[in-house]
Amino acid sequence: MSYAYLFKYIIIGDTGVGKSCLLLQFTDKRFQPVHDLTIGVEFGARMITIDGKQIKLQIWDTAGQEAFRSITRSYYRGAAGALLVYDITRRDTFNHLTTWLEDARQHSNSNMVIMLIGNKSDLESRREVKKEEGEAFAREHGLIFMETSAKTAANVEEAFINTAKEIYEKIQEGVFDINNEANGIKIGPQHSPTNTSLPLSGSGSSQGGGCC
Amino acid sequence: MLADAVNAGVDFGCNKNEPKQNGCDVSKVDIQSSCKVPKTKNGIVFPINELVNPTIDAVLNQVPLIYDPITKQLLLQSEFDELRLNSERNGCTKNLVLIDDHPKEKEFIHERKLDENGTQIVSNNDNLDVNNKDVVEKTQIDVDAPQNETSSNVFDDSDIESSPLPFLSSVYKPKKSSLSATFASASYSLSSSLHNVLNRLKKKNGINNETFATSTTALILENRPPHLPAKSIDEEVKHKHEYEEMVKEAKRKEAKDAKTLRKITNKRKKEEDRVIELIKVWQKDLLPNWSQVKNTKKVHDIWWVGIPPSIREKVWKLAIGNDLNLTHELYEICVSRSREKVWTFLTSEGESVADVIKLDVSRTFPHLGLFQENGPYHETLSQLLGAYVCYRPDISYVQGMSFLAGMLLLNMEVSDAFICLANLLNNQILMSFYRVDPTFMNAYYSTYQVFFRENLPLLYKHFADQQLTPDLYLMDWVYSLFSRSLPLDVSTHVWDLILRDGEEFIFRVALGILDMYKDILIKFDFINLAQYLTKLPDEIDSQSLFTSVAAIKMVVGNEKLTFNQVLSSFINSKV
Repeated sequence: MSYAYLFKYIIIGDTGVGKSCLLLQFTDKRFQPVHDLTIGVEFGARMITIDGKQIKLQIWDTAGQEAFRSITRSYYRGAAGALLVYDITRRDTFNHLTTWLEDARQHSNSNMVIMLIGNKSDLESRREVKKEEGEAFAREHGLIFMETSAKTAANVEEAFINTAKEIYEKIQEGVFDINNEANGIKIGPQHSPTNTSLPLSGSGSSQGGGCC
Repeated sequence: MLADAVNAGVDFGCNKNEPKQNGCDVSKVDIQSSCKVPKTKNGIVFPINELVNPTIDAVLNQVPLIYDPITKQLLLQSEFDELRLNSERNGCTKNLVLIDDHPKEKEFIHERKLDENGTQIVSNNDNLDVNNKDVVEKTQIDVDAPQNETSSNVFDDSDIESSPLPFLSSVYKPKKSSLSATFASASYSLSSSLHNVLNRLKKKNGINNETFATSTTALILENRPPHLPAKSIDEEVKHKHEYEEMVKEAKRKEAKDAKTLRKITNKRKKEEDRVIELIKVWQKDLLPNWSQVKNTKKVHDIWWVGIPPSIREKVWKLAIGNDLNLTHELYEICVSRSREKVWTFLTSEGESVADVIKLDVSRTFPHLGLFQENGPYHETLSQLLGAYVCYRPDISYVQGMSFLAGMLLLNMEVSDAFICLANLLNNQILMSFYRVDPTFMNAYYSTYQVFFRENLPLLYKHFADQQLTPDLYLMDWVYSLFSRSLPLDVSTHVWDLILRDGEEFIFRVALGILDMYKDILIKFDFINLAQYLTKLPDEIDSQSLFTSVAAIKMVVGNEKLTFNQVLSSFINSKV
């Protein structure tokens, strides 16, 4: 399918917070009650529309265990957006956010949009982290924030799409240099027949063509 | 069920030889009065209270039942006898119509009229009850049917005589063949009345007091109803011929099915014999002389097809060995120490080891339901992993280990699994990956790339063009030794051979997977490749994978460098 832009996302956060479930809910619109664990990295992709333009999201879903942190660091390269996920029923996962954020800031493009996600909002009775705490953390660090439930799909769509909107706005403002693929943004194949970097023609607003 | 078997009205129409204008003699069987067993509205009542301390067995023993092999139903002795008596009284079993006590039946049948299109009009009979509606539907079929169809029934007399229960065969067999013949002859348009009958046939076990038409053979052979002109001889001959063809076709199909079944059975038998033979060879020739024969070609060939499950445990333990000289006692010590310590361990970042193990045990082979909470191996696996953390706190628990440990637990006792896990993780490749040692990991990736380019040059170039680096899909395969990504039977077979050939077989399987899917992979872009390889199709079978794996050469260049030689050169250049 043709697209105007391709954004690379990376999903990070402690193990077991529901990163893979969020991805599955977003790409396949389903929740898997039998959980699987991610070793290394897994992938997802979906097309969305923003401002009438087709945008392809290429999502890297990483392993959460700390042992793999050094490997995860190499995946930040070229990411335009990051979803930093914690589990509202496990305070530990919220406490580790600072480390994750440091890592993300250090190894990614400085313009990378980071969305903070408090997942498992359906488990209200087991909540350990108040929504206000998440909001405060996000405000303090300049992140967008949302509470989601990969199980009920609440806010999942919004989390991915709002991140894309933010990236899109940054492109419009000229903050992102879309010529530089290290920013995690590619222009659709029509503009870039060889799939490599290309001279920017106009605003890049025309629809992409060709096949991905 | 009992009442239903009797009440299902059967209209066999006329005997073939009877003059048509005589029509069918509609007779009645009154079920209520014919039953000796007292009945209530809801069914039959048995004198249970005559029994002292009635039990279900005792009650059932008192009920006189007859098994009807044709309908595969149980019949009450009394109902069975009454039914036969009635049919004999009628003098013509084939003309039997069983109608629930309804005196208007005869008139009703005669009251039906035809309009000029041949469509049936049923006079508005106030006496119509549920049972009569059934009759309406029956008669509608007769009329909706094309000219050459009749409601009367041809019965092959020899058929009746040869049946062990001639009466039952005439009563019940038609019910079955009527439906199949309806489909087989395909002469009826699927009119609403046919739909009704078919629906009712489906529901028949649940409905009492039913009455509907049946036939003994294909409807195509039936005579016409009395009010229609008889078939011409030509037509009858033609129909007979068509019917014979149908029977022949059915027999042919039966024979073919039987042949297929025989083939499958033979194949299975052969496979079983092969495995039995293999087990003998393993047990008699190989295992007793393991250290001498383990590297011979004969053993390697027999190993290639996979180790028979019953001796897998033995071979795995021998192949993994115990260089670390671990004992079962050590396992016990580690378990008891882990109870005190592991569950309070934290990693440098404050991650609780216990939390991660707890999370992962439930996520190990999730589809098996063995390791999940409340599963039979949940505790065992947690304990085993906890013991390993105590044994090697420097490595601790790393995601992926639960799959290795789980795989071992599926094949051996927990203390043996502990010894095997520790020795397995002590291998260079697993140790360097589980320690996340970038130098060694990259050396392995680079070596893999050399063999990738050698074996699949086109795909190698395509991957390079798409910027798909091997670490993205190899990590999972190495960490879990394919047990997370391949079906269990396939990954078990892969493990058999990894234990034969060592680490290079991991990369040979990786290339085998790429080879197996090369035609699809060559068309994919980065994201499709990455998605496909990190989530392989479910239906991979061992045979096709191993065919691909067999084709992968594990020597490169003119110098015929082995995997280890290439690997050493990369390690030496980095270290």
